Amino acid sequence: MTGGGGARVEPLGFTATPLLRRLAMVAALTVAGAVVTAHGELLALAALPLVLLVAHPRSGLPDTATVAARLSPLRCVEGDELVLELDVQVGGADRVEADLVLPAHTEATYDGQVACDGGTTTVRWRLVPSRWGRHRVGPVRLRVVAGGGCYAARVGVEVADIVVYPGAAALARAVAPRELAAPLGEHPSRAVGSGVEFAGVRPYTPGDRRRDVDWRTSARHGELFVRQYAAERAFDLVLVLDTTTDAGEPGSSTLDLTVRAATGLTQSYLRAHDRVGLATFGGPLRWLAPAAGPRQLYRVCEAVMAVRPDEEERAAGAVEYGLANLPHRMLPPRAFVCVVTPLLDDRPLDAVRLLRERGFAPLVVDVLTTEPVVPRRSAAELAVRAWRLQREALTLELGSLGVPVLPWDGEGDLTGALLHAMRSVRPEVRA
Amino acid sequence: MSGRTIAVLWRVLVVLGAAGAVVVAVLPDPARPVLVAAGAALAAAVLAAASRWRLAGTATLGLVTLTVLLAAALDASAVRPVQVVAAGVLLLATAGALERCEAGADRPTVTVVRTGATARLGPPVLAVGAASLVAVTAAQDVVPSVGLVLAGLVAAVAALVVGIRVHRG
Repeated sequence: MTGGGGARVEPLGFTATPLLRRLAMVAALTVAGAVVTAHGELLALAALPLVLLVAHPRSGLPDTATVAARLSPLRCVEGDELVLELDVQVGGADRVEADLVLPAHTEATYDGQVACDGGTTTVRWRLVPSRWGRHRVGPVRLRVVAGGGCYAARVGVEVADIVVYPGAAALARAVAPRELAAPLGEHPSRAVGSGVEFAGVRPYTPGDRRRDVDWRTSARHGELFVRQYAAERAFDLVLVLDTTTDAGEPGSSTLDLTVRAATGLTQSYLRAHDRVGLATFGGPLRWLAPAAGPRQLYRVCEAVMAVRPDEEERAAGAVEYGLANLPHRMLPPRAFVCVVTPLLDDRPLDAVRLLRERGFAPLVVDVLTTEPVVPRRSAAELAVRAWRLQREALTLELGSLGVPVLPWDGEGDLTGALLHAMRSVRPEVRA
Repeated sequence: MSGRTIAVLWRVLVVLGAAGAVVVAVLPDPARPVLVAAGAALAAAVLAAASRWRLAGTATLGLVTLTVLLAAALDASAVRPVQVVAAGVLLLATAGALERCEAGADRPTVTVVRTGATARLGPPVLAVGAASLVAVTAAQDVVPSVGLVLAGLVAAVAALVVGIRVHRG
């Protein structure tokens, strides 16, 4: 998908630059000096600016400029490369200076220019957005200089809005607990069924398929045994994102890690034909009911993009922080709930308690990777120590509720830790 | 070359251009008022390059012009035609560098379209030729004639008027 629109003809409204006034000033001063002092040789000094002024009349300035900007693609993932091409055609201009206005956390590299037929010059930049969100690229501010530098006109070329999806967290495979309810999935469960993963053997009963007979076991025991396979079930994953605060450096802040973890989990589990839902708390309560299929990935990504509170939401202040109003269809029975939070206050604990009351055994992914930097031996250092203790107490409290806390720094693979955490949830606390 | 380096180069050119113009004008035997004007011009040039204030830039050009005028007015025999032309060229170079220096954005810009060297250098070369012709003519050892002087001055004023009129919108 390309954005930026077609070629447009922009009228040029030239204004005099300071150079024009200065040339006139030097010429006038010199002529006046020559007249007052009656020194003819000083007119040589006046001849220079005078010739330049006469050689570049206002009538010789161009009237219009033809410009077009193309940006591709308009949707990308953090770190992807976009190409911006700008076509400029101005006849009679001395030079055209282009200043590209970029959104925050986006780097541009000038990639050269090509002169095409018909006097059009195509300039190319390579853009790399490094932070997720919806960003506006441009405008490209053009300064058309003509008349020997005596006149300049400004033209703004709108480019396009881009959608930068968060980079997905690394997840080697979609792991799942053993107790799964939904049928027709790809995760082997404890139940015996018609999957492909070996689950054990049992004595042959009439009606069993001949191809299921385990001949080696049958020969050892002198009677027929058949192989059993684990049933393959689907998995309902509900991601609960804590967007109350955003701590840390832009690009690796808690909110950045939260959305990357959510995107990575969604991508992996949807690929395994599971259903994924999403709920956020910390700003206005938002949710997305669990669903499967590739479209759900885009729905989740779009929902995740909206978690960063905008100025209106920040100004509103009194917003619903909890999950109390979450509809029941949002949390299907036996769904696995994963709470992604920086654990910076008690709200995640309240959320986990609420989920436990509804019969769910959530897993908490802790995405806080930074600590406040304070001077040594100051009162603030004491405050930081108290804050650390508070976080430890929060983690212990979650542990006492049977909720595993999985720290994630945004770099490592979540699979192993996720599997360990899922298996460590006590069966009696599962729904 | 990075945008920051180019911006620094334009600033250096402002100071060097102004310094060159006043040095060419005041040598070899500067009078005290000329030295004062030259010093003021240099100070204004440094201020203009450092601060990018348009007022300082305009003051720089005015003071450099005043220095050349003073040098010629106080001791006409000390200022040769080539000095006047050289000072004029350096003065215009300073004006051009000031324009680039003041227009320089905080972010680096890309120059997209640039006219050919012939189109860009034609008018300045013509201006230097015309200035040289005027300087050489003025330096001719002829008997001063009131009519000739008046004709020259009228021609200069007329050129000034025409130069300004072609830039009225």
